[in-house]
Amino acid sequence: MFKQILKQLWFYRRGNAWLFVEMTLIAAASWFLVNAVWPGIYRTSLPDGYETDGVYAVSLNRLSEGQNGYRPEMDTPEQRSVDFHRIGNALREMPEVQDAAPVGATLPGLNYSNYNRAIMVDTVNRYGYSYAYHIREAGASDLELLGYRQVWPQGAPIEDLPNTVIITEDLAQALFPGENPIGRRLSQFSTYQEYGWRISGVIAPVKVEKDKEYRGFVMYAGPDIVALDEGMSLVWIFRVAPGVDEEAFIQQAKKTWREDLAFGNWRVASVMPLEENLESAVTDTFMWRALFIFLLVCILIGVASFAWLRTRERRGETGVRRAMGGSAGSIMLTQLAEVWILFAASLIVGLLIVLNVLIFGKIDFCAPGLSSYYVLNVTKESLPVLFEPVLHFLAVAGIVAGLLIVVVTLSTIVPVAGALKESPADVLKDE
Amino acid sequence: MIKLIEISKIYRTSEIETMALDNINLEVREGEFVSIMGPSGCGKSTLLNIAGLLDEPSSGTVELHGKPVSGLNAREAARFRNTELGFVFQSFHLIPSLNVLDNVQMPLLYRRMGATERKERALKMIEAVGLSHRVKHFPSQLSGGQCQRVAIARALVGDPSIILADEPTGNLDSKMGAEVMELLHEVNKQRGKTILMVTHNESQAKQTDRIIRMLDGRIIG
Ligand SMILES: Nc1ncnc2c1ncn2[C@@H]1O[C@H](COP(=O)(O)OP(=O)(O)O)[C@@H](O)[C@H]1O
Ligand SMILES: [Mg+2]
Repeated sequence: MFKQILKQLWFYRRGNAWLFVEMTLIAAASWFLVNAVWPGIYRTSLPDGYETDGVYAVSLNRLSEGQNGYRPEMDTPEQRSVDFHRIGNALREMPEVQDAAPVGATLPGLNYSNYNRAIMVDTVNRYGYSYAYHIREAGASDLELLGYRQVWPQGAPIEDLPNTVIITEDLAQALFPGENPIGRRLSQFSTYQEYGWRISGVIAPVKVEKDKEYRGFVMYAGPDIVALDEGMSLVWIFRVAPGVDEEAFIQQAKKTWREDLAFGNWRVASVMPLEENLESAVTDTFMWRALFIFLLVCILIGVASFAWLRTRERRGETGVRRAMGGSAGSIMLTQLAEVWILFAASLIVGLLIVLNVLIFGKIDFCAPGLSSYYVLNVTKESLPVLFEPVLHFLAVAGIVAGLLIVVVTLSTIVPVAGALKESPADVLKDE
Repeated sequence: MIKLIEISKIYRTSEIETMALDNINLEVREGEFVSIMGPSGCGKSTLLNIAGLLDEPSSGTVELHGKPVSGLNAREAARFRNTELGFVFQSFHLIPSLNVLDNVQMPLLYRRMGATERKERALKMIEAVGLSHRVKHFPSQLSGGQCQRVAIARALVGDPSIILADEPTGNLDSKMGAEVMELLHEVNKQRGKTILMVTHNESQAKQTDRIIRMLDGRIIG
């Protein structure tokens, strides 16, 4: 039987050669496509340590000149700040809202930078501390709302003051072992000026990329607690009070808040779950991912149609085989065995091509690929295989093989099953 | 041997209903060579396909070897076709991608049989139809008459008791047709196979044991 299958593959070598070349190229191309998309699944726009269930984001638009309802006299930095906080106060007064807080476009732990140099504690320079920092546009109320555990001060809220800094417990342990760090000063020197902050709070560790071994996470409040800088997009987040019908409340909010929460030139643009809001900030990577997936799907459809036609052309053969006493199962198996052999050969050659490109092109395919300021990239901790060249190559190859074998198998099974469902007489009549 | 009892076949499409067979009763005895004649479209092929379990009747019973076979499931029907029935078609229906030897072996592939025995039996059959010098040829490299002889070898290789032939000489010129007929008679006489054959050729029909004439899905004589 097996010998016959090989003979038939050889007999149809012209058509099969095309299918082979196509599948080889496709296996190779799919490897790169899958490689680009795959790590994206493990990226996140929500760092660990936040409790976001029941937390919604209200994003705002500012009316500008010429727009309906624009009031020029209210378009000053001071008034904008006042109006912005009126929105927050209105939210806090709603019985359905447990708490509200202003946050930036991303949460601490995401759009951080990192330092690895001297830090001045009080008046002494300390060396060798690497830490990530995040400049905060707002006060500390978001930390409470988002469920951070406050370590210091004990039994009092974190003060919201300009030029303060909140650090994480691990950095506090390293700099002030066994002490209360509240009120101590941290300074840094850049080429231009000195920055100094007073420590106003210590929170439980924020999880950022752990493999980079940041000692801690620092959140600087700017010189102005709510710096309504033109470039900063601020949103209000709020947590729905327990026992409230969340869905109904949000539905209502979407309808009425544009009017109810119109203060100064601020208007509510959207109300959506915080996670969704965070994800909307990384549309660019999602667009890329969508594009890659689209290409992959196109390719797969191509393979499917090729395999389909090839099987379809030989519909009569299934009729003959059935007249000769072949059972449906054995006929299906012969057809499948043919494409599987062909497929296995092209997969191997395709992957060898990929391997050559990777090795001789000296391509660093272990980089996490698509990246964005607004997402936590894949880390060695979240996806170790990604950083292990051999395993990485094989894992992606495995995904490709799985995808292609499903497509090839289905696009063979369906037409063969179609021919097998008809009476052999009808299939033979078509010949 | 072959018994069709009150067989009807209706083809239904969305617009029309075709009564291809209308209450057919027919019995063919063991070792008989029976020909079916009738104008095109009168239901000859349909009758043969139903007798050969390639198609199912709309109503009625098919008995082969005294056993009703209409109720067999697909697997059992396949097994039955494999062991008891041999088919010869007007357009040969050889598999183009397989050479003569592999085509003739085909029915044996669906049995538990060693490769050597398969090959031996197929070669013997090919010799019997006089094509030993064409074993490695593909169907496209053979004449029509040779193709039909390959098909007959294929029909016989599994040693079935019944041969069903649908216009086996329909695509052949008279000389090749005569050769094929000669072969079929030999199969009938020397191997004792029961043959049910559709033909348009009056003189070929006259050489058989019995002629059944059909018109509009019915047997008229
Ligand atoms: N699959 C089908 N669908 C609809 N009608 C069919 C089908 N097969 C055959 N027929 C009709 O059934 C009748 C008998 O066909 P057939 O047995 O092939 O005739 P014959 O072999 O005597 O020329 C014809 O009228 C034909 O058009
Ligand atoms: Mg016919």
